[in-house]
This record gives sequence, C-alpha cells and structure tokens, in this order.
Amino acid sequence: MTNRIRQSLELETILTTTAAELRSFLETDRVKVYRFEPDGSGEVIAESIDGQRLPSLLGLHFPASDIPPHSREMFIKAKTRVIVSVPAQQITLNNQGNVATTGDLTVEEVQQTKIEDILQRPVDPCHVEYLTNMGVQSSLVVPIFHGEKLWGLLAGHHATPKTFTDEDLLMVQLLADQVSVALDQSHLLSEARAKTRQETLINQISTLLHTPQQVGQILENVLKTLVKASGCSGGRLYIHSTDPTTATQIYTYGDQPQLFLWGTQPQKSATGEALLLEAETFWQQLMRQPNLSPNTNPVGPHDEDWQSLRTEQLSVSAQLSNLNCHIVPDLYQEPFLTAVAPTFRNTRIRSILVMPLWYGKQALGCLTLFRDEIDTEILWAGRLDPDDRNRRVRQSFEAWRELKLRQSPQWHPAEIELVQAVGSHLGMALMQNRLYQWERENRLLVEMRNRELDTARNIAEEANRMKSDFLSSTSHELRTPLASTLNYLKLLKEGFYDNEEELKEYIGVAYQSAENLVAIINDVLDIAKIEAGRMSVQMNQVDLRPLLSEQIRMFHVESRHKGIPLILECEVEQVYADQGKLKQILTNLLSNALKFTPIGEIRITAKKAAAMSDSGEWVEIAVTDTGIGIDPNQRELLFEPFVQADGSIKRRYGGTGLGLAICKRLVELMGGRIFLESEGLGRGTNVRLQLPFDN
Amino acid sequence: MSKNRLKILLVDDDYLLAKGTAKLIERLGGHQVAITDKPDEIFQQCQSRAVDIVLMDVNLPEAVWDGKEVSGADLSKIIKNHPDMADMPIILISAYAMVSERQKLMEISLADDFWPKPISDYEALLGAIESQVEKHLN
Repeated sequence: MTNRIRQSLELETILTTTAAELRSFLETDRVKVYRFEPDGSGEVIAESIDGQRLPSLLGLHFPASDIPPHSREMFIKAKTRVIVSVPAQQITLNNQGNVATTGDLTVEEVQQTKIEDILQRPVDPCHVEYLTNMGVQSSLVVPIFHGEKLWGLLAGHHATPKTFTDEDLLMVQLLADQVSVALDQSHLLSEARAKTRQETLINQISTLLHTPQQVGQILENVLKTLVKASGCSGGRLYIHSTDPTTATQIYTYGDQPQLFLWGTQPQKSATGEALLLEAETFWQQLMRQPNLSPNTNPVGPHDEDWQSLRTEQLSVSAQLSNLNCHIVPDLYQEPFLTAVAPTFRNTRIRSILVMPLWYGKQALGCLTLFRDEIDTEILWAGRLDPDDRNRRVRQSFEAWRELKLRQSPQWHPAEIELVQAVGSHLGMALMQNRLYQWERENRLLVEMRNRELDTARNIAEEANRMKSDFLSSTSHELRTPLASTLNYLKLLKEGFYDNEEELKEYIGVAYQSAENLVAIINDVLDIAKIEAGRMSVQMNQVDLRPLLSEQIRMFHVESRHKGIPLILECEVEQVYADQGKLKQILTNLLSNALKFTPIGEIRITAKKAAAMSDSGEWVEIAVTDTGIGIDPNQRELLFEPFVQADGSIKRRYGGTGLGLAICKRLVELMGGRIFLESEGLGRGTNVRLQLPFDN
Repeated sequence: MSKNRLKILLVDDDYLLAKGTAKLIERLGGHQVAITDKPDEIFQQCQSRAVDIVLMDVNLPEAVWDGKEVSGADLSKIIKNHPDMADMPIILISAYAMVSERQKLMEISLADDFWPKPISDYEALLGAIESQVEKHLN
C-alpha cells in the first residue's frame, strides 16, 4: 500500500491513492483528506467513496468553526484521535463519567490536560449530531502533520456503525505518517521545481541580456519573458536618461493603462505625447528611496507628505522592504495612485508591483509589473450559523457557491523573489551597458582627440617642413646671385680688369645679379604678404590690348634670342582687374613659358569666356606654350607655394617655386580663377585665367 | 709653404659666377683655374692628375653619370671611392648653406671641406685650398 502511495511524488496523486487504499483497507464507505487553510477553514482535497453510500465532499470548503481551535489543538496534542461514534455512543474511549467533553475545553485547557484524559473523553453531543446529519454513523480521524504544523486530517466515515480495531488504528496512523513524509517530499519537490523554474528563467534572461543585439531589442525581450514567466498581464521597464542628451527609455509589454486619459476626458500632455507612468510621484519616490519602510526617514522635497501618506497607505500596500519591491495589491485602494487610477479603468489590471532598479546607490530606473483582477469561486459546504434554516441547508449538503468578483491577485513570495532576482540582473546589465557606453564614448572621444591632435601635428609638421624648405630654397636662390654680385664687385674693387670692356662686363654682371636678387626678394615678400592677408587689389576697367602688347614687348629680346615667337590674339578690349597685379601675373606666366620652352612658340589669347555658371561676362586670358609640359599628377601641386614639379626642374631652371602660387592668389584676390593644363611631359603647357569682364 | 702655382678645377654650372670666382682665385692666389660642369671632363682631369684640387659645386643640372642624374656631391663621392683618384682633395662649394644641409652634403660627398656661397673671404679660401693640397701630398 505504501509502495503504491510512494510511486508518485505528486501530492494530488498521493492523497487520492492514500484515500483509496485506506478505504479499501478499512472497508469503510468514505475516506477523505481534509486540508486546513491558514484561516482555519478547510477543504476536502481527496476522497474515495464506496459507490453512493455517502455523498461526495470533494472540493467543498468548510468554515473554520467546523473544526474549532481547541479541536485542532487536541489533534496536535493527541496525534491520533479516534472517534467511533454511533447513535448509542457505544464505543467511546472515555470511561470517566464526569469528564467534560472536548467542546467544553479551551485551547489552554487542552494544552494543560493530560494526554490520557484527552484520549478518553466523551464525544461532544453536537459533533455526534453533526456526524449524524451527514449520515455518518462511524468516524475515524487522524491528523496529518507537515513538520510541526497540523496540515490536515485523514478521515474515514461509515454510513453504519462500525468498529475499528486497534490494528486498524495503527494502520491509519502509519498511513497518516506516510502522508506526512509524502507532504515533506512533495513540498521539497515543488520547492526544487520552483527553484529550477526560477533559475531557468534567470538563465534565460541572462542569456537574453547578453545576446548580440541592440540594447532596446534585448530589454524588450527580457521584459516580455519576465511578464510571461511571472504570470502578469503587462509590464514596463523604465530607464533613466544618463545625461541630458539621451532620452529616457521606456519599454512596455502587454496590457497598459491609457496614460493620456485623465479623469474621464481623454487628455494628452502639452507635448502631445502620452505621459510616463513613471513620472508620477509614486514611482519617483520609490526610485528615490531604495529600501523604503515605515521606519526609514525618507529624504526628498515632499517628504513629510510622503511620510504621512506612507503611514496611511500601509494598510493597503504591502511593503516588502527587504526585497526592494513595492506591491500595490489593489491600485484603486492606494491613495498615492488616485491620480492615475482612472487611466487603468479600461484594463483589468488591479495589482501593481514596482521594483526600482539600482546598481549600488545609483538609481537606474524601475520595473513595473501589472496583474489583472481575478474572480474567485468557493464552494462552501454550508455556513456555520446557529440559524435553523442554515442547518437545514447544511443537512441537505447543498453547496454554497461564493463567487467573488474583481479580486486582487496574490503575489507569492517566490514570485516576488523571482522578480527581484531578474531585477538585480537587469540592474547589473543596465549598469554594464551604461559603463560600456561611457567607455565607448570616452574611447571615441579620445580617438577623436588623438586624430585631431595627429592632424594638427601633421599640419604643423608639414607647415614647418614647408617653411624650412622655403627658407632653404630661398636662401639657396638668394645666395647664387649674391655670390655673383659679390664676386664681380670684388673684381672691380681689386681692379682685376684688363680693359674698359672687361670693366663694363663686370659692372653689368654685378648689376644683373643684384636685379635678380631684388626679383626673388619681391616674390618672397609678395607671397608672405598674401599669406598674411595683407595684399589688397585695386579693381578697375583695364584696357587689355595695350597691356598685353606691352608684355610682349618686355619679352621681345628674350623671345628673339631663344627663337621662340610670341603670338598675341586679343579679341576683347577690356577686363575688370587690378592693372598692376594683372601685369605681374602675365610677366610671371610669360617668363615661365619662355623659361620652359626650348622650341616652338608661345601664344597669348584673350577672349570672352565660354558660358560660365555665374552671371555676368568673363574674359579668359590664356598663355599657351610648346614647352616641357607638366606631369598631370603634379598639376595642382604647382599652385602651392615652395613646390616645383621636381628637383631637377629647379636645378635646371632655377626660381623659388613661388611664381604660380603668387599668380593663383592674385587671380583669386581679383575674383577670378586660374587653370593649369598640360597634355603631359614634353607636350606644352596651357595656363588659363578667367577674370570678370566688368563690374 | 712655397708659393707653388696650383692647378685648380672649378666645377660650376653658372658660368658667369664661376668665371668671377676663377678670376679672383687666379689673381689673389696666383693659381691656375679651369672651369667645367661636365662629369667626363672632371674624371678625366682628376685621373690624369692634370689638377691638384677640385672645387665642386653641388648644384649641377643636367650632369649625368652612368645614365643617372648626379649632383656635385655624388661626383665627389665617386672620385673619393675610386682607387686612382681617392687622394684627390675636394672642397664642396654650395649655396646650400644651412647647417643641416651642410652636414648631409659632407656625409654624402666624402669631401674634405665645405664652403658656402657666396664666398666673401677669398684669402681664407686660398689658405684652405693650399692646406688641403699639402695634406694630400704627404
């Protein structure tokens, strides 16, 4: 029998099996297992009946007074209690005629009475009556203990008077002990199962928290999982913004209050967005005070109000300060939620659990879970009421159906513990994420700074290099004509000339060298002035034809000497420019063209520019040669100061490498632009400058 | 030292500048100066011992040796590394006057001395020329 009982660890199966086995053993009409509720009422949770010999009591509740405190105390003390009751009361364990019935004793008296006296006591007449009314002529009851607590009763009833032997009693007692053991095991099992479920869920959530997804997606999934696992109808995860630049985050799942509904009128906030539940004082206070309890002195601006309300509401709100959770069993009863309660009207949400998320002393946000109201139904096996009518009802075994609607759902400690565990994981994950973000932002910032510093350093180094190149080139270019000047002046000074002709030659060379020096110095000063932004232009209508003719004349001697003809094609009469600067540019360009053209011709053209995107008319002046040309890769570089196509050009042709740079800057100062084109090395160069036709 | 008339080879591409320099050396030092900017001629003069010393300009556009463009510093190095010419005294003369350029050029060229352009103290230059020749004779 016990083997069959033990086959299952499921309590329901155990109890049902126990009832069936016991009834079969005792050959009695009905065996029931009666379980006490904490309030002393009880329910028949397992039953075995022989046919229709006695009515079924399964699932029926009995009020606490059915088995009053002193009776329960007697079960505890006596461990075994046998009532063999027949109309004649022929078998009682009592043989002392003057002892009070159990009904006459108080709990204290039971505790003080000797065990022998308790075991030998006449049955209360009312109990006899009660049993008789139930159609029971014979009853055998033993208590079932869970630990030290009276958990329930194992009762055997028979419709006719029946005698139970000592052996029967012993067996029943053994079975009750078995049930106690089974209860312990079952309790352990369900505890283990709950723990496993909790661990599984926490693992699941931990895994979710560390999946390589967007944080928002992860938190949404975690919330969803938690709401489902904790038997809630909805939930919200609110996360503070870390700094003014990031927005507060809110994730929701399942049923939600309609937050824009205030009072009875739909109303939105000024920004047109639904207000956050978490902006309410209730949530804000919870987030501000991690371990709020009546004894804590709260801190904050509205603390006195909070404190007084807090004290008031204690009767309504369950405080779980040690778990860092706050539970509102019934949101319509919570004074602090008066303002938001209407927004829940369209939902079945009745109970709220708020868990502020903390990491150390830092508030990260809060987790809010909703539970729907529930309807409860209890089938009462009559009500204890001295009224005769009720007695008749009880006698008829008509079940009293008690239907309670819109009840606050329960939050079991294990569920709260689960939320708490998940909450602490969430807190850690959020903090980790936050730290990671900070770290990443800092790293990006540092990288950006480093890049900026690198760039700045490169620019500075480049500028420095260019400056020192410039100094070096300039120094070199100045020293050569200076050496000539000095040489010839010294020859003149020492009188190292043989005739007048030689004298003139020496003076000529010294003079020319000094002039070269001046030209170079002027270039250097020009570019320095332009770079410093101190160069200004005087714009006027300039007659172009005479200006170009003058340029041609200037280079006439050199042109004839090298055998390179200078050809002028002028189609426009005027240009809007600074005459002096325009001359300087053209001199530069023509000088370059002559310098770099060993064979062929040099052509200067002036015409109206082809359609330009800008309004107004433009003049294009071009200097085209058949000279050494330019490597296309180096074209743009040549407009930079201190840069020459390559070192050999410089060695071969001299110059500071400032000419084109000066030209470009002067053209731009006059509101124009300049282009340098070449089909490649040895294929000539074409420089075009575009200037406005008029102002 | 005895006032020996030295045969000096002045290497410079700027003919007018070289001519003035040569004239001053000849008149002030009583030496004989030849001017060239052709690598062939430089090597030939050195190898045949037609000259006692070379005054080498660094900037020599269009100077090509062994199919490559060469500077005066490169030519100096070739001479100094050649068994027949290694003892030829060479003084670099250059308009590159900055200290860093000067050091670099001396390292490349293996030359014996460096004089920046413009030369203002010809007496000192003549002293340097004569002492280099004497040093290489011993």
